[in-house]
Amino acid sequence: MISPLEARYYRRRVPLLWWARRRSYLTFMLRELSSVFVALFVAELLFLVGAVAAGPSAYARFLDTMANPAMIVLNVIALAFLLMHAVTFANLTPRAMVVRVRGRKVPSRAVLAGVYLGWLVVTVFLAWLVVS
Amino acid sequence: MTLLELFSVPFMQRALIAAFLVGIAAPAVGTYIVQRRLALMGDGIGHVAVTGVAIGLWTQTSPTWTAVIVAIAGAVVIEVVRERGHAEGDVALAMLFYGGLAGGVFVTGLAGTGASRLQEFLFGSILTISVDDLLVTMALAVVLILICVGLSPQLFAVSQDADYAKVAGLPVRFYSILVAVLAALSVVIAMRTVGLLLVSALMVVPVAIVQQLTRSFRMTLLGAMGAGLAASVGGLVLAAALSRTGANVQPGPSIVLVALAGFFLVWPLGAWLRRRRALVAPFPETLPEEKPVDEGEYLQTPAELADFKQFSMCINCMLCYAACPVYALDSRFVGPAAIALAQRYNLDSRDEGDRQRLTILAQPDGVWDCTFVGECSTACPKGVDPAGAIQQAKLAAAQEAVKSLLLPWRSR
Amino acid sequence: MPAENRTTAEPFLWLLFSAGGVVAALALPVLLVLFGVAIPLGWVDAPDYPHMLALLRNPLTRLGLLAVCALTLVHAAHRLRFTVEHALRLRRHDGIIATACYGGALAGIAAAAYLLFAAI
Repeated sequence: MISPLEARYYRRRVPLLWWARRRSYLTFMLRELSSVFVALFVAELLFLVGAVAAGPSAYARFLDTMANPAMIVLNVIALAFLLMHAVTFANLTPRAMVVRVRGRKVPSRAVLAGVYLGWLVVTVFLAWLVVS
Repeated sequence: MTLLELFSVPFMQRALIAAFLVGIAAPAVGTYIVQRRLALMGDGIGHVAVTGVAIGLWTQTSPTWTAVIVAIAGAVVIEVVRERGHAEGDVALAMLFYGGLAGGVFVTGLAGTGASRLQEFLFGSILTISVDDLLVTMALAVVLILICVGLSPQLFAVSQDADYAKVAGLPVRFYSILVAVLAALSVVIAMRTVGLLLVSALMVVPVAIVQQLTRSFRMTLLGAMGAGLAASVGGLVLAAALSRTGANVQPGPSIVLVALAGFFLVWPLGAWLRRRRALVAPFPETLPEEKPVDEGEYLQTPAELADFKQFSMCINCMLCYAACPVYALDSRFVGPAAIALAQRYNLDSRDEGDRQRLTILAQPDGVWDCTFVGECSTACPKGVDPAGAIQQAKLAAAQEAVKSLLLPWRSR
Repeated sequence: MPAENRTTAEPFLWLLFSAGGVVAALALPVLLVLFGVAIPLGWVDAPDYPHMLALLRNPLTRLGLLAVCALTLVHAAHRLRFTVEHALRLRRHDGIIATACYGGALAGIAAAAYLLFAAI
């Protein structure tokens, strides 16, 4: 929003690893990196679909690959990041969205409760879909 | 056979698809041609393209492709001559057009095929379009539509006011030549539909129809595409319907006549609309009406105050700017305090400028650089929560962007 | 300074990013727990092949899964783009980085569409 001329006024040099120097910045970076693991899990889901499409033996091979200890470790790490994404995204929702009911602002705690309740409902539904 | 049965015949279906696409693509290019006051450029290119067709017929190669080459060359020459702006330019162009038409008919004679094959190209032969020709037409039409709609801001700037465009940094020469090339391509795809002698009509008349009703550029572009589609398909259906009564009406001229009929129908409506608009104030309302002083101050309930109060607590200490990594990396970012202040006004029930503010915030250096690090809110000594304000502004700006895309006719 | 009214796709990308974040946060954790941890470790029985096939053949499941994958991939691409530009100070090359990120997301969406609608 400022002209390039104004932008050439004094600016402190920003170190390349600026995000490693404060805990809060590092947490932020990890939160952003969680998106990589989210994309990784989407890839795993697509491999699952591909395996089911290829037949029962492919599906069995997929399940065996997932049971490999290295894969389990990877998936646990991915789960940690995925939960970090979910929790931070949920907690930031009341600040980002002001919900109004009948002209009055809904308090943040209610919005947060709503978000987590929704998460619970979706979790139960999907678990039932897959396992039953 | 009934009309519906007639349209289930393959050649009629191909004709319908060609009419559909050409009816959309030609007026899209025509909008820019008319904007540059070059409504007869299509005619000129059409005349020059006759030579291209003739060369194709003479050398037994595809007349469509030779027409493309000659039409593009001719369009570029026309554009360059026009740019020079000399008075002799008119005469030079006239010689080019007559030379093109006469040369074309002459070369056809040399080829020995005579005028009948040429007639297909002069007056259109949409009913004999082959599958290959149709595919080429479809591909070219889609490319034309994508460029005309996708590059519409730049092309509009260059067509409307070339000096302003040049000052704003656009490559005016490139876009002018691009418009000329687009015109050449639309002449070539329209030559099978309405013929080279009438091609300008399909480019220009739908634009004229829509300009009776609106002055907005985007509505003109979209409306002209719709009117061209209606005229094309309407003309084809009319010719098909008349053919059942034994008449042998060519689709090309019927398309043009349907378009002209549309113009004459819309013309009184346009006159009425213009009379109505003249009664309204000539300038658009840019500023919201303010309450006169003797009506007292704007009243506000405590609940309305509570909506924006948090964002009004800013003391301009700029700690949020010091904490924001995005601002540190790129000083062009508007910054947390500024956006929080903008949001303070957006949420104020007494304010009426939120659309203008959101338009500014929605620029790339505005709210979109923020990645919700949240350090600004942590650093703020007054609890303003600028990070929350920015996310709310992003949501409001995104809603504005969606609305202005889906409902372009909203008053500014 | 008067605001130049440059048309930008950023608002729509942000809307897709937000939607993707919501969808990923709601739907993915349970699936990762199930397929990544619980089933491989034997805490839950793996769904048998016919059940999986029937589940994935259902048009609603296909659409839902495509929507989840598509939105999540766009979300990840958007976040990755900004993370790379901010962490490594590559904002100058936004054009290339954005094309690479969203292009990758589009490729993933195409693969998902193919797998869900053509292969299965």
